[in-house]
Amino acid sequence: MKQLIWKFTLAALCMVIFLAVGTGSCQALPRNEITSFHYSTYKDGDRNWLKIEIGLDRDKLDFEVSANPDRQNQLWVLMKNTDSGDVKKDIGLDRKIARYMTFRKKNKKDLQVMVAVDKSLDEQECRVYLSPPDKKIKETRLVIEIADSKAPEPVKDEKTNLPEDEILNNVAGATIVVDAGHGGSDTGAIGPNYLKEKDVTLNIALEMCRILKGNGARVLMSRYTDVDVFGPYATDRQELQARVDVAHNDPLSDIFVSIHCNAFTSPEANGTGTYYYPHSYNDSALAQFIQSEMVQATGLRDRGISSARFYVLRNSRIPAVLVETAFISNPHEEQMLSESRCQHAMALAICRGINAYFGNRIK
Amino acid sequence: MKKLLIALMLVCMIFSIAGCAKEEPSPATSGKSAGISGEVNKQEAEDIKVKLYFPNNDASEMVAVEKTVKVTGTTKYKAAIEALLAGTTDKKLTNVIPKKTKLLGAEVVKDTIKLNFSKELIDDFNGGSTGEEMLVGSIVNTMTEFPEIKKVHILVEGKTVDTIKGHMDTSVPLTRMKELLK
Repeated sequence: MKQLIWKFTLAALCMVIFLAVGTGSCQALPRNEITSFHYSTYKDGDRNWLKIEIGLDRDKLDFEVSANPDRQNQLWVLMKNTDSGDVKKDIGLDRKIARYMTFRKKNKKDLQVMVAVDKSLDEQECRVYLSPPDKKIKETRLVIEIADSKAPEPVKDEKTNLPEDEILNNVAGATIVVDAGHGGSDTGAIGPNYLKEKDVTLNIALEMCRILKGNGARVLMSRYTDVDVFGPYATDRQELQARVDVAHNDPLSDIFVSIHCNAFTSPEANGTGTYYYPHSYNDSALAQFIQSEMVQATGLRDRGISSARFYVLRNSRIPAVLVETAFISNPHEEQMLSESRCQHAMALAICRGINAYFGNRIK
Repeated sequence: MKKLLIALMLVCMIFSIAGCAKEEPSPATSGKSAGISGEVNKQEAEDIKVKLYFPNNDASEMVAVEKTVKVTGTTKYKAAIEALLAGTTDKKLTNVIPKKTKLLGAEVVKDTIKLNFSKELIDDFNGGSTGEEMLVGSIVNTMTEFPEIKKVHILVEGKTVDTIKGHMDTSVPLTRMKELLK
């Protein structure tokens, strides 16, 4: 009997040591854990709000807010160094403002919260913040608030000022990043009659900006003038990354469209082509919609769409394309590219392709 | 009996500690150079057949051109690139690599060849997505014709380059560009 007790004590000791070593020293970093979950709705004037409160056991939390690039109705909140605790993994919400939310492990240490809003993030307002303990609730909470609509803005109907052929029906509310290729110290390719690629790409990009904004889209431009995007004396990588960052820095960015002129050593090469990097189906779809419109509008030889290891495409987190409008190294196409009429036609064709993409994309 | 139990406990402790210890990085995979595997030991000239890739004039495809090169005290890789730089006289094809470009060195590490070009490769090149693809493609596809070469890392004046003219990411070794071949 005595021996049996001795055995038990030893086994218990073993377990204690195992547990102490196993949990204590392995997890040196204090982690956050969700301690409570609660949601409610309230009215603010004409708008209805959904308020989600996630209680935490610590008073600090690192979090990142972004939008799912592939689904317009999904808000992502990355809670760093956090465990989900006893909270359910999938939670139904009020179904009027938001449908449901999920908690998923991400990067081993973090917790990804996804809230599926009813319509889309473009049409609904969201805010995410940390709320300190107060008299009623004694814990710090991560608060996600979602409204059923955007704050009303003074309505400006600029569409009426657009010529009929420039009216696009699917881009309103979309956020489109337009990158005028090269610029500043980088001329891009130069034609046989000294036309510079950077000047053509800027003109087309500015024209696209006018058309898209006129149709109610949000447009983010990598440059509005003849400048380097990163700044002078940058490395090539810094310069290209600065263009990618225009989209990265805005969670609402939907697509990235880079405008270029093609060039080749032989002046014979000609035609229009669109490049993409196959991150998802949407990349090639966007490329094909733009390519079809470009061919139709310009009558140029159709070089088709191609996937390519281009820096700005590979590093983009949203559907991205690079449009090679025409060959600046071909004398005939250089002449075309220099004409403002042709620059307008190309800008409009690209915008139409974008419009078709938003009308047809898989959500 | 007691001794056995104590021994068991010790084993248990060791296990629990070992299980917790930070995962040691697995011993670095030896990055030692496969060396000059392509070096020709014989000093006398040897003729070998290589396939060089040139774009056609409208840059719609790349065409392989067979050529016999002399390998004397140099590697077959160098000989092939030198032949590519020398260009083709075929009127339907284009010499896409700028004329003054020189090959400064070539080194094989495992399945990757590092090719070091002079600055003219970038400075004298006009650019364009198609131009860049064809320039890089002619070099990469010519080298990957050698079955032991799987990747090509293009260096300029001894340094890694982020891009040739703002399109392709050339900071990493590149694999064969099949999409340019028909």
